[in-house]
This record gives sequence, C-alpha cells and structure tokens, in this order.
Amino acid sequence: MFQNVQTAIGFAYPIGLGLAALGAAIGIGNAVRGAMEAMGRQPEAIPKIQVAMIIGAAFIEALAIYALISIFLTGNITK
Amino acid sequence: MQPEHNAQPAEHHPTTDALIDSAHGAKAAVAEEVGHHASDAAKGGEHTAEQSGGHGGHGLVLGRHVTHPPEPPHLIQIWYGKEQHGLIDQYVQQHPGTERPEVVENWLVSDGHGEFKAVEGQTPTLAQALHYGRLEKPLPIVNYLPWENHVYLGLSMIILVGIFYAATGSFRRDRRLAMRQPTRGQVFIESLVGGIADFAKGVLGEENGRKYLPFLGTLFCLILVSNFMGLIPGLKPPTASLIITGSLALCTFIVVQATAWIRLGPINYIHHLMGQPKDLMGWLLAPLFLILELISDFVSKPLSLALRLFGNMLGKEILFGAFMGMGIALVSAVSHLLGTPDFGAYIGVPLTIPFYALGLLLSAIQALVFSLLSTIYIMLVLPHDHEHGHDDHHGHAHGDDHHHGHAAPVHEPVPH
Repeated sequence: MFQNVQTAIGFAYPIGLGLAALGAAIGIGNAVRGAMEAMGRQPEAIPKIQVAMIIGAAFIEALAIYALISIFLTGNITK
Repeated sequence: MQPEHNAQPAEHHPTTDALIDSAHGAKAAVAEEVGHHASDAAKGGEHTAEQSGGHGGHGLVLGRHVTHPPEPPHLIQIWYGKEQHGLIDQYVQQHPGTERPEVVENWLVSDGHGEFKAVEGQTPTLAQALHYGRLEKPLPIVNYLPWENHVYLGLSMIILVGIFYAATGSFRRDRRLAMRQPTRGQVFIESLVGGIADFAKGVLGEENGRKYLPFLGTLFCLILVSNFMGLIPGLKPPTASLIITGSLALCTFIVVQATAWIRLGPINYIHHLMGQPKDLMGWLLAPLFLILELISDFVSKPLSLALRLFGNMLGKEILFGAFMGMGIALVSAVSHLLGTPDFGAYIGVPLTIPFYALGLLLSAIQALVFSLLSTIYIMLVLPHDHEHGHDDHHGHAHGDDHHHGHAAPVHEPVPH
C-alpha cells in the first residue's frame, strides 16, 4: 500500500502514540478517580492514598512514556 | 552533479537524485532509484553500478543504504541534511595529505571498511565527517555520547553542595545559636531533610528509614536540582539523557540488590523471588514466579526507572524547544509580512512561559517518583516484609507519633 517505508512509519507512529496516550489517560483517570473517592471517604488517610496514587500514576504514565521514548530513540528513521 | 566514469547523460539524474534523497534520509527512495539505475545500466551495456564493488543491489540494510559512487569521481557533492557542503575533491585538494573517502548514505563518508552515522541532530562539520571517514573502524558508541550531560550533572552537584554548605553555615559558626535561632536557609533544609526522613521512615520503618536516608535523600535532591536546571534558560537538565538516568537507576539497582543479598540472605532472597511458596500449589507455581520476579527485578524495574525520568524530562525539553521555535517563527512571519528585516534571528515571542509552571510541577513530581519507587524497591527486599505484594507498602509506619514530629521543621541537628 505504502510505496515508502517512511510514509508508513510517518502514519503509524503518531497513531501508535495516540493509542498509548489514550490507554494511559483511561488508566490514570480510573486511578485518580479511585483515589479521590477514597480521600473523600477517609480524609485522615489522605497522605497514604496520595503516595499510593502517585506510584500507580507513575507506573501507568510510564507506559505512555515508553511509546514517546520509542519515537525519540528511533526518531532518525522518520526524518 | 555527478559525472560518471562512463558518463551517459540519462544516468546523471537518477544518481544525483539518489544522492540527494539519501541526504534527506529517504532510504526506500534511494533503494528504488539505485535499483532502477542498475537495471538501466545493465540494459545499456554499462555495468557501472555493478562494477563498483559488486554490491550495487544490496539495497536496504536496516534503513541504511550505501551508494557506491563510480570509481573515478570527479565532483562528488557532500550533503549534510539538506545543505550542500562543498565537493570532496575540492576539500582534498585544499588539504594535502587527506585521503579521499567514499561517499556513503546520509552525508557521512566512509573509508570502505565501515559505515558511519552520527547522532541525529548533530551535524558534523565537513572536516569532522572527513576525519571520521578516515578511521579504520566505525566509531564506538561512546564517541557519539553528548558530553554536556556530564558537565551539567557536575554543575547540579556543585549547586547542591553549595546550597547545603550555605544552609549549614550557621551550624559551623555557632551550634547552640543555630539550634536556638535557626536561619532561614537552615529551616528550609531541615524541613526538606525532615520531610525525606519522615517519608523514608514511614515506608521502611524507623531504623531502616534512618539507614537509607542518605541514599534516598541524595537521590531526591540530585534529581530535583538536575530537573530544575532545565527551567533555567541556557542550561540543560542532565536527567534528559538516558545515560544519566540509567546510571541513577543502576545506583538504585545496586542498593536494592545489596540489601537483598546482605539483609535477606541468598536463600531467603530466592525464596522471595519464588513468591514465598508455603504449600504445594505455591511450590508448583514457584518456577513461574521465579522467572517473572527475575525479569521484574533485574530488567523491568531499573529500566522503567531510567526510562520514566528520561522520557519525562526529554519530553519537557522537546516541548519547550517546539514552543520556542514557534515563537521565533512567529516573529519571522510578522517581520516578513511587514517587510522589515527578519527579527526572528534575534528575538522570539516567549511562548514557553506558561509551560514553566508545568515544568516545575513535572520536575518535582518526577524527582519524587524516582526516590519513592527506589524506597519501595528497597522496602520490598527488606527482611521484615513477609507479606509479599504491593498492597502493604505503607503498612510499616511504626506509629503515628513521630509522623507529626518531623513534619514541622525540626531544630535539632540532623542525624547522620
């Protein structure tokens, strides 16, 4: 379909990155919602919940960051 | 243009186009053009492409393509990116003693022993390219590493040491006075160290928290200062390089492994890696757990630590760069519309200002996350952690009374 490998990569990379961001957004949304609900229910446990939430968010966010890094590391083939 | 050995006018353009295209990095196009050229030459009875090295048809090799120019090259142009940087023969004539290198894909030159490719974005000068071209072997990866990250890391260390030295000056002057009437810097550093100590003790327990405080505090402060360096124009955060973040992750990895082997002991550690089997079902699943935990401990944890920090900081830098470029382009466009000289060469609209708040937040959070995850990785291999899993990370706070005691700035010497 694509005559040119570069064109294929040029299409595929942004779509893949968008999908990764979508997944991470859903994940972080769920995590933060859960944390917020827990905080509302138990305000005295806010520090613990916050720490756990940040760790979870970091793990989730890392997945999107991996997609981003794959662009940095292979960026020279898209130019 | 590139006149060839047995020049046929019809063959000039494909070859030159191929050279230019390869300079632009369009490998597939190059492969196509060269293949076309080779078949043309074969039809015309002129085997120029096949003559020149016999591997005219090797085409696409992992995105690299080597175009072998015909043997006696008169005027080979050198293209770096989209700019033409002169002619090789001209350069060789001007610099006696220079061997004439072979032109390879993508503006670099080769001696025929190997092909070289510089790091993206680091366009070598003509002299550099030709110099590399005379090397015997391809450059080792070390030569491609940007050196400035190490300088900036050293700078951030100096800043950190300077801040702490200045803040503890009151102690060196008069210890009693410092405890009665703390200076502002002292209070700031004490609250910082007290906060980190509080956190480490909350996760690791009173004794272990104090033990690992130097490592975790150093990690946090160094990463924080390094990340904040990215917000100062003209400086680059060293954490935006995979080498630096990888080294930091390696430090954490070594500390975690040392803790596991010394504190937990080899047998207990392997037992821990097998998922702490208790019954038959646990022992049946143990090999699976062992593989999973080995991959997790030795590969994915350090790798994710390094890549997370690197990706976040580099992403922030690229965002800043993109908006800075937009501001410059805006000024250029306006000055073009007004018919004035291009002011974009001197000044740009500071579109990055809103992102400084984001950058501050991101820098602090990433420093926090790195040291937080390091703490948790250490906590997971400490002996008192009998419940394996991620649910009880924070169940080890030994009482709540010290929790509030350290949250406020403590006016006592910070224990070493």
